[in-house]
Amino acid sequence: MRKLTGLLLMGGFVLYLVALVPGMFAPETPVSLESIGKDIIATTERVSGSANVVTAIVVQYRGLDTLGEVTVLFVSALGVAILASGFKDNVFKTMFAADDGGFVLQYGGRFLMPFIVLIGVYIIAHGHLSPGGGFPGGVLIATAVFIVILTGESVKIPHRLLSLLEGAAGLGFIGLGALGFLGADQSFLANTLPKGEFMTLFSAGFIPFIYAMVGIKVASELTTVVAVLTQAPHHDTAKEEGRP
Amino acid sequence: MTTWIVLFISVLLITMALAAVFSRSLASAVIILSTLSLFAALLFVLVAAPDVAITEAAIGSALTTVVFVLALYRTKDAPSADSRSPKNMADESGNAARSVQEVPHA
Repeated sequence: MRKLTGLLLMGGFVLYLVALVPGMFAPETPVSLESIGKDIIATTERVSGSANVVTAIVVQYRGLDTLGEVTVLFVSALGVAILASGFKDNVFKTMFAADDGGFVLQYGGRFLMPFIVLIGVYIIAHGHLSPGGGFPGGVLIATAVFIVILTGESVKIPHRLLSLLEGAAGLGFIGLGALGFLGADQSFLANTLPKGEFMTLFSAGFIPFIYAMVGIKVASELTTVVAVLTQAPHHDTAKEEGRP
Repeated sequence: MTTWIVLFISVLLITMALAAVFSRSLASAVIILSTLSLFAALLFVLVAAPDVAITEAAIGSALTTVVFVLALYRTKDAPSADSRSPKNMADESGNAARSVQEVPHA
Protein backbone atom coordinates (compact mmCIF):
# COMPACT_ATOMS: atom_id res chain seq x y z
CA MET A 1 0.00 0.00 0.00
CA ARG A 2 2.74 2.41 0.95
CA LYS A 3 4.74 1.51 -2.15
CA LEU A 4 1.66 2.03 -4.30
CA THR A 5 1.13 5.49 -2.79
CA GLY A 6 4.75 6.37 -3.39
CA LEU A 7 4.61 5.20 -6.99
CA LEU A 8 1.40 7.15 -7.59
CA LEU A 9 2.99 10.29 -6.13
CA MET A 10 6.07 9.86 -8.29
CA GLY A 11 3.93 9.22 -11.36
CA GLY A 12 1.98 12.38 -10.70
CA PHE A 13 5.21 14.33 -10.34
CA VAL A 14 6.61 12.95 -13.59
CA LEU A 15 3.35 13.85 -15.33
CA TYR A 16 3.65 17.35 -13.88
CA LEU A 17 7.20 17.66 -15.23
CA VAL A 18 6.15 16.38 -18.64
CA ALA A 19 3.28 18.85 -18.71
CA LEU A 20 5.76 21.67 -18.19
CA VAL A 21 7.65 20.80 -21.38
CA PRO A 22 6.68 23.40 -23.96
CA GLY A 23 4.72 21.97 -26.84
CA MET A 24 3.37 19.04 -24.81
CA PHE A 25 0.17 20.52 -23.39
CA ALA A 26 0.87 24.21 -23.15
CA PRO A 27 1.84 25.45 -26.63
CA GLU A 28 4.53 27.85 -25.41
CA THR A 29 5.28 30.34 -22.68
CA PRO A 30 2.47 32.91 -22.54
CA VAL A 31 3.45 36.20 -24.14
CA SER A 32 2.59 38.21 -21.03
CA LEU A 33 4.97 36.16 -18.88
CA GLU A 34 7.77 36.49 -21.42
CA SER A 35 7.50 40.27 -21.51
CA ILE A 36 7.75 40.53 -17.70
CA GLY A 37 11.14 38.84 -17.70
CA LYS A 38 12.37 40.94 -20.60
CA ASP A 39 11.14 44.13 -18.96
CA ILE A 40 12.88 43.34 -15.69
CA ILE A 41 16.15 42.39 -17.39
CA ALA A 42 16.04 45.57 -19.47
CA THR A 43 15.30 47.92 -16.57
CA THR A 44 17.28 46.33 -13.70
CA GLU A 45 20.43 48.37 -14.23
CA ARG A 46 18.54 51.66 -14.26
CA VAL A 47 16.00 50.88 -11.53
CA SER A 48 18.14 49.05 -8.99
CA GLY A 49 21.76 49.35 -10.12
CA SER A 50 22.32 45.69 -9.29
CA ALA A 51 24.39 43.55 -11.65
CA ASN A 52 22.63 40.39 -10.50
CA VAL A 53 19.08 40.48 -11.80
CA VAL A 54 17.92 37.76 -9.41
CA THR A 55 19.08 39.80 -6.41
CA ALA A 56 17.37 42.88 -7.79
CA ILE A 57 14.13 40.93 -8.09
CA VAL A 58 14.43 39.34 -4.63
CA VAL A 59 15.32 42.52 -2.75
CA GLN A 60 13.71 45.31 -4.71
CA TYR A 61 10.98 44.13 -7.10
CA ARG A 62 9.55 41.79 -4.46
CA GLY A 63 11.16 43.07 -1.30
CA LEU A 64 8.01 42.66 0.75
CA ASP A 65 7.96 38.95 -0.16
CA THR A 66 11.51 38.64 1.13
CA LEU A 67 10.46 40.25 4.39
CA GLY A 68 7.73 37.63 4.61
CA GLU A 69 10.23 34.83 3.86
CA VAL A 70 12.52 36.05 6.61
CA THR A 71 9.55 36.09 8.96
CA VAL A 72 8.63 32.51 8.01
CA LEU A 73 12.21 31.44 8.72
CA PHE A 74 12.10 33.22 12.07
CA VAL A 75 8.86 31.49 13.04
CA SER A 76 10.22 28.06 12.09
CA ALA A 77 13.44 28.66 14.04
CA LEU A 78 11.29 29.73 16.98
CA GLY A 79 9.29 26.51 16.70
CA VAL A 80 12.42 24.37 16.68
CA ALA A 81 13.78 26.25 19.68
CA ILE A 82 10.53 25.76 21.60
CA LEU A 83 10.48 22.03 20.73
CA ALA A 84 14.12 21.71 21.72
CA SER A 85 13.61 23.42 25.07
CA GLY A 86 12.73 20.02 26.55
CA PHE A 87 16.13 18.53 25.73
CA LYS A 88 18.37 18.07 28.71
CA ASP A 89 21.55 16.63 27.26
CA ASN A 90 24.23 17.27 24.70
CA VAL A 91 23.88 15.04 21.62
CA PHE A 92 27.55 14.39 21.22
CA LYS A 93 27.96 12.90 24.64
CA THR A 94 25.88 9.93 23.51
CA MET A 95 26.10 10.05 19.71
CA PHE A 96 29.88 9.93 19.54
CA ALA A 97 30.46 8.18 22.81
CA ALA A 98 32.64 5.49 21.21
CA ASP A 99 34.91 7.63 19.04
CA ASP A 100 35.56 11.29 18.40
CA GLY A 101 35.23 11.17 14.62
CA GLY A 102 38.90 10.67 13.86
CA PHE A 103 41.79 12.85 12.86
CA VAL A 104 40.35 14.12 9.58
CA LEU A 105 37.15 15.40 11.15
CA GLN A 106 38.93 16.82 14.19
CA TYR A 107 41.52 18.90 12.38
CA GLY A 108 39.93 19.21 8.94
CA GLY A 109 36.81 20.69 10.48
CA ARG A 110 38.74 23.20 12.56
CA PHE A 111 40.88 24.10 9.54
CA LEU A 112 37.93 24.52 7.17
CA MET A 113 35.68 26.52 9.48
CA PRO A 114 37.17 30.03 8.95
CA PHE A 115 37.22 29.51 5.19
CA ILE A 116 33.57 28.51 5.13
CA VAL A 117 32.69 31.61 7.17
CA LEU A 118 34.78 33.70 4.75
CA ILE A 119 32.93 32.28 1.74
CA GLY A 120 29.62 32.90 3.50
CA VAL A 121 30.51 36.54 4.15
CA TYR A 122 31.71 36.89 0.55
CA ILE A 123 28.46 35.44 -0.81
CA ILE A 124 26.44 37.83 1.37
CA ALA A 125 28.51 40.91 0.54
CA HIS A 126 28.58 40.22 -3.20
CA GLY A 127 24.94 39.29 -3.54
CA HIS A 128 24.30 42.15 -5.96
CA LEU A 129 27.33 41.34 -8.11
CA SER A 130 27.58 37.56 -8.29
CA PRO A 131 25.21 34.65 -7.64
CA GLY A 132 24.23 34.20 -4.05
CA GLY A 133 23.02 36.53 -1.37
CA GLY A 134 21.81 36.66 2.18
CA PHE A 135 20.04 33.33 2.38
CA PRO A 136 22.76 30.91 1.15
CA GLY A 137 25.50 32.95 2.83
CA GLY A 138 23.76 32.81 6.17
CA VAL A 139 23.21 29.07 5.78
CA LEU A 140 26.93 28.60 5.03
CA ILE A 141 27.90 30.44 8.21
CA ALA A 142 25.50 28.31 10.27
CA THR A 143 26.98 25.19 8.67
CA ALA A 144 30.48 26.34 9.61
CA VAL A 145 29.38 26.66 13.23
CA PHE A 146 27.94 23.16 13.04
CA ILE A 147 31.22 21.78 11.71
CA VAL A 148 33.01 23.18 14.76
CA ILE A 149 30.37 21.63 17.03
CA LEU A 150 30.88 18.36 15.13
CA THR A 151 34.59 18.28 15.90
CA GLY A 152 33.71 17.99 19.55
CA GLU A 153 35.20 21.30 20.56
CA SER A 154 33.26 22.69 23.48
CA VAL A 155 31.76 25.78 21.87
CA LYS A 156 29.65 28.01 24.01
CA ILE A 157 26.93 29.40 21.76
CA PRO A 158 26.17 32.99 22.79
CA HIS A 159 22.41 32.65 22.61
CA ARG A 160 21.73 36.12 23.96
CA LEU A 161 24.07 37.76 21.43
CA LEU A 162 22.52 35.72 18.62
CA SER A 163 18.98 36.75 19.52
CA LEU A 164 20.13 40.36 19.83
CA LEU A 165 21.77 40.20 16.37
CA GLU A 166 18.70 38.54 14.92
CA GLY A 167 16.32 41.20 16.24
CA ALA A 168 18.66 44.03 15.25
CA ALA A 169 18.93 42.65 11.71
CA GLY A 170 15.15 42.36 11.43
CA LEU A 171 14.74 45.95 12.64
CA GLY A 172 17.48 47.02 10.23
CA PHE A 173 15.63 45.42 7.32
CA ILE A 174 12.44 47.28 8.21
CA GLY A 175 14.37 50.50 8.88
CA LEU A 176 16.12 50.34 5.50
CA GLY A 177 12.75 49.67 3.93
CA ALA A 178 11.27 52.67 5.75
CA LEU A 179 13.97 54.85 4.19
CA GLY A 180 11.92 54.51 1.04
CA PHE A 181 9.33 56.88 2.47
CA LEU A 182 11.92 59.68 2.25
CA GLY A 183 12.48 59.26 -1.47
CA ALA A 184 10.55 60.35 -4.50
CA ASP A 185 8.42 57.21 -4.60
CA GLN A 186 7.32 57.53 -0.97
CA SER A 187 6.77 53.80 -0.66
CA PHE A 188 8.05 51.02 1.58
CA LEU A 189 11.25 49.33 0.31
CA ALA A 190 11.88 51.90 -2.41
CA ASN A 191 15.57 52.12 -3.31
CA THR A 192 16.41 55.68 -2.30
CA LEU A 193 20.10 55.36 -1.42
CA PRO A 194 22.65 56.52 -4.05
CA LYS A 195 23.20 53.83 -6.66
CA GLY A 196 26.94 54.32 -7.09
CA GLU A 197 28.92 52.93 -9.99
CA PHE A 198 27.49 49.86 -11.72
CA MET A 199 29.33 46.56 -10.98
CA THR A 200 31.27 47.87 -7.97
CA LEU A 201 30.98 46.67 -4.38
CA PHE A 202 29.24 49.82 -3.13
CA SER A 203 26.54 50.05 -5.71
CA ALA A 204 22.88 49.21 -6.11
CA GLY A 205 21.72 51.52 -3.30
CA PHE A 206 20.25 49.65 -0.35
CA ILE A 207 20.41 46.15 -1.89
CA PRO A 208 23.77 45.09 -0.32
CA PHE A 209 22.69 46.49 3.05
CA ILE A 210 19.34 44.69 2.98
CA TYR A 211 21.11 41.47 1.99
CA ALA A 212 23.61 41.97 4.82
CA MET A 213 20.67 42.25 7.21
CA VAL A 214 19.08 39.11 5.73
CA GLY A 215 22.42 37.30 5.99
CA ILE A 216 22.92 38.22 9.65
CA LYS A 217 19.35 37.24 10.45
CA VAL A 218 19.50 33.89 8.65
CA ALA A 219 22.92 33.05 10.06
CA SER A 220 21.93 33.78 13.66
CA GLU A 221 18.60 31.95 13.36
CA LEU A 222 20.05 28.82 11.78
CA THR A 223 23.02 28.80 14.14
CA THR A 224 20.52 28.84 16.98
CA VAL A 225 18.54 25.99 15.39
CA VAL A 226 21.65 23.84 14.93
CA ALA A 227 22.91 24.70 18.41
CA VAL A 228 19.71 23.90 20.27
CA LEU A 229 19.39 20.62 18.35
CA THR A 230 22.87 19.51 19.37
CA GLN A 231 23.22 21.00 22.82
CA ALA A 232 20.45 21.57 25.29
CA PRO A 233 19.65 25.29 25.41
CA HIS A 234 19.74 25.42 29.20
CA HIS A 235 22.75 23.17 29.37
CA ASP A 236 24.03 23.30 32.94
CA THR A 237 27.44 21.67 32.79
CA ALA A 238 28.23 21.99 36.48
CA LYS A 239 24.98 20.31 37.46
CA GLU A 240 25.44 17.53 34.92
CA GLU A 241 28.98 16.74 35.93
CA GLY A 242 27.93 16.48 39.56
CA ARG A 243 25.67 13.56 38.70
CA PRO A 244 27.29 10.25 37.73
CA MET B 1 25.04 17.76 -25.44
CA THR B 2 23.84 19.78 -22.45
CA THR B 3 20.31 18.57 -23.10
CA TRP B 4 21.42 14.95 -22.72
CA ILE B 5 23.33 15.70 -19.51
CA VAL B 6 20.28 17.52 -18.13
CA LEU B 7 18.07 14.58 -19.11
CA PHE B 8 20.49 12.10 -17.51
CA ILE B 9 20.62 14.07 -14.27
CA SER B 10 16.83 14.36 -14.25
CA VAL B 11 16.48 10.58 -14.52
CA LEU B 12 19.11 10.24 -11.79
CA LEU B 13 17.16 12.63 -9.57
CA ILE B 14 13.92 10.68 -10.02
CA THR B 15 15.77 7.43 -9.28
CA MET B 16 17.26 8.89 -6.12
CA ALA B 17 13.90 10.27 -5.02
CA LEU B 18 12.36 6.80 -5.48
CA ALA B 19 15.25 5.25 -3.58
CA ALA B 20 14.69 7.73 -0.73
CA VAL B 21 10.97 6.90 -0.64
CA PHE B 22 11.51 3.13 -0.64
CA SER B 23 14.64 2.92 1.50
CA ARG B 24 14.27 0.86 4.66
CA SER B 25 16.03 3.12 7.12
CA LEU B 26 15.29 6.79 7.59
CA ALA B 27 18.98 7.62 7.97
CA SER B 28 19.85 6.33 4.50
CA ALA B 29 16.84 8.18 3.09
CA VAL B 30 18.25 11.41 4.54
CA ILE B 31 21.66 10.74 2.97
CA ILE B 32 20.07 9.92 -0.39
CA LEU B 33 18.13 13.18 -0.24
CA SER B 34 21.37 15.02 0.48
CA THR B 35 22.95 13.49 -2.63
CA LEU B 36 19.85 14.37 -4.60
CA SER B 37 20.25 18.00 -3.54
CA LEU B 38 23.85 18.04 -4.76
CA PHE B 39 22.84 16.69 -8.17
CA ALA B 40 19.93 19.13 -8.27
CA ALA B 41 22.45 21.93 -7.70
CA LEU B 42 24.48 20.60 -10.65
CA LEU B 43 21.32 20.58 -12.74
CA PHE B 44 20.55 24.18 -11.76
CA VAL B 45 24.05 25.23 -12.82
CA LEU B 46 23.57 23.52 -16.19
CA VAL B 47 20.29 25.31 -16.82
CA ALA B 48 21.93 28.68 -15.98
CA ALA B 49 20.47 29.31 -12.53
CA PRO B 50 23.55 29.69 -10.31
CA ASP B 51 21.64 31.56 -7.59
CA VAL B 52 19.28 28.66 -7.09
CA ALA B 53 22.21 26.23 -7.32
CA ILE B 54 24.10 27.90 -4.48
CA THR B 55 20.99 28.00 -2.33
CA GLU B 56 20.14 24.38 -3.10
CA ALA B 57 23.67 23.20 -2.33
CA ALA B 58 23.83 25.13 0.95
CA ILE B 59 20.34 24.45 2.24
CA GLY B 60 19.42 21.16 0.59
CA SER B 61 22.60 19.17 0.97
CA ALA B 62 24.13 20.76 4.07
CA LEU B 63 21.65 22.27 6.47
CA THR B 64 18.63 20.06 5.82
CA THR B 65 20.75 16.95 6.24
CA VAL B 66 22.15 18.24 9.51
CA VAL B 67 18.72 19.12 10.87
CA PHE B 68 17.20 15.81 9.69
CA VAL B 69 19.97 13.70 11.20
CA LEU B 70 19.81 15.58 14.48
CA ALA B 71 16.01 15.39 14.58
CA LEU B 72 16.20 11.65 13.80
CA TYR B 73 18.65 11.13 16.63
CA ARG B 74 16.57 13.21 19.01
CA THR B 75 13.36 11.35 18.23
CA LYS B 76 15.17 8.05 18.76
CA ASP B 77 16.00 9.31 22.24
CA ALA B 78 12.33 9.88 22.99
CA PRO B 79 10.67 7.45 25.43
CA SER B 80 8.44 5.99 22.70
CA ALA B 81 11.40 4.88 20.57
CA ASP B 82 11.83 1.15 20.11
CA SER B 83 13.87 -0.52 22.80
CA ARG B 84 15.90 -2.58 20.34
CA SER B 85 18.42 0.18 19.70
CA PRO B 86 21.89 -0.76 20.97
CA LYS B 87 22.15 2.35 23.13
CA ASN B 88 19.09 1.48 25.19
CA MET B 89 20.17 -2.13 25.43
CA ALA B 90 23.53 -1.13 26.84
CA ASP B 91 22.08 1.40 29.22
CA GLU B 92 19.18 -0.48 30.67
CA SER B 93 19.58 -4.08 29.68
CA GLY B 94 17.60 -5.12 32.72
CA ASN B 95 14.62 -3.04 31.76
CA ALA B 96 14.70 -3.95 28.07
CA ALA B 97 13.08 -7.36 28.41
CA ARG B 98 10.36 -5.97 30.64
CA SER B 99 9.50 -3.10 28.31
CA VAL B 100 9.22 -5.48 25.36
CA GLN B 101 6.74 -7.54 27.34
CA GLU B 102 4.73 -4.47 28.22
CA VAL B 103 4.43 -3.43 24.58
CA PRO B 104 3.70 -6.61 22.64
CA HIS B 105 3.64 -4.99 19.20
CA ALA B 106 6.91 -3.12 19.64
